[in-house]
Amino acid sequence: MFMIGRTSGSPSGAPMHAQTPSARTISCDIDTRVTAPGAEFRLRARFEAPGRRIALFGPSGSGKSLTLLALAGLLKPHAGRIAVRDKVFFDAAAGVNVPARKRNVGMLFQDYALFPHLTVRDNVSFGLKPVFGPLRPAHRERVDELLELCGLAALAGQRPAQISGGQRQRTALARALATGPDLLLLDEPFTALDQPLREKMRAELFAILERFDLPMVMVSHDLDDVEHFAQTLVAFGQGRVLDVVAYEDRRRTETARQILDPLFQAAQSPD
Amino acid sequence: MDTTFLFPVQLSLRVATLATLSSLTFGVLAGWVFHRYRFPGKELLDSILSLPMVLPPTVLGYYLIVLLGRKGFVGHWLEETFGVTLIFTWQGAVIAAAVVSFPLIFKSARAALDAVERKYEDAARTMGYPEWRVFLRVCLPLAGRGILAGTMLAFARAMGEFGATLMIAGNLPGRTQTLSLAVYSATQAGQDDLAAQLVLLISVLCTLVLWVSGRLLTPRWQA
Repeated sequence: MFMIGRTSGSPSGAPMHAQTPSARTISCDIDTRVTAPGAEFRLRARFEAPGRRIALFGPSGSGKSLTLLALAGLLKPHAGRIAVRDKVFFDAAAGVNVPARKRNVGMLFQDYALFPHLTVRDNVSFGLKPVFGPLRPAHRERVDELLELCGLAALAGQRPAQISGGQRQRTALARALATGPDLLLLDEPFTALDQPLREKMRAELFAILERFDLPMVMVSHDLDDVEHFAQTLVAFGQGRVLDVVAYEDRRRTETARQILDPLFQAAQSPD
Repeated sequence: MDTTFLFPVQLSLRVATLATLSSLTFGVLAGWVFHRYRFPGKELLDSILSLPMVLPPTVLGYYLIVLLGRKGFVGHWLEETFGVTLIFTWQGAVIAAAVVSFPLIFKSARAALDAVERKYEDAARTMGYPEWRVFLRVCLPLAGRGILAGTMLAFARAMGEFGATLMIAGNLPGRTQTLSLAVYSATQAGQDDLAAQLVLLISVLCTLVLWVSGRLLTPRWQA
């Protein structure tokens, strides 16, 4: 569980182990209402997405981020069922709702949500901290390895306010990976960065993630993110799932625009 | 220095410290419950808990006598079960000071906890933290400054408590006479020198408390 840089099964290749289809699928069928003062949003997201790298794609306000929160256990839908790779996280009918802390899901927040009162090192080791006393030696080693891998070793003693946007993102990534999650959720990981840095960070982030054999779900409205990342694409629009696309397969014969343009149009058009 | 001078000083410090510790515990707990949970009548309960901040201290003193006096609901029970009376004791003064200082901590704790962005708590949850650890490791440190500011105000309020203390603990020199009561008595009795000394001392003490806590409040990090 605590190995870094597992090289088996490169994320771009086909899965190496023979598994039943459901074991590699994220299935989500949720119905919920989110109310803010003066507004109500209805989300009805139903999809079955295979693949190790799933992109939830759609314009802002289409419900993709809420779906991600529901996967993480940070939002409880009113009805429905969520199962990730054979594990039932939520089943309203059966009264199942695994709390976020027991889902073993890593989350990279949109603006990183680094703890401002803690150093880079304490942020990264946060999830490994025992209730009393210092980190176990094995965990210490893991934190050191992660800091090294993410190029943060020299910044370990700094606080989030003292480091750059790219460094913050890598800190957040190291923090999410430290607990050895079974699934990594990425919420618009690059929108907080400006354009030239975005390109660089995208390459860096995926280079780091390639060393971890981790299934991932990314929320994005950025074409470039999808192009670099998606094996499977779940297209959102107006609080619903419009389509599930085997993006990587279709890209062999079609251009990105041919696949995405109809989805853009469908997301814009009213019901 | 004679005891007429020293006793009120040390009694006031003891009463204010104990009262502040008690309202710190209950105020932060209540602030957290209000931050974390939704329940019917929540805002009404908030108003009721904040009442001691706005009600005249004598009204609070009246309530406390009704509650804790010999014939009072709680007072009667205490006397029957433990043989304890709170009326005309310094412990009664602690209760009076705790009640008036509670809302200052409760209000600032709730506001400070509500100001902690939810994403920080969520991040801790995804890393396996149960709610009580989220509170200790995330909410408390991030809300710490606001809570400390409220604690300072609460201590100052407890030091200056007069009306409710007078009603529940009386003004017994050497037993329940706190500093603010001693100043009143000295002025009434024409002991102007004593009054002046007491006033000077309490002013220096309070300045010291404010200065020290102000230094403690300087943040070591910036969000």
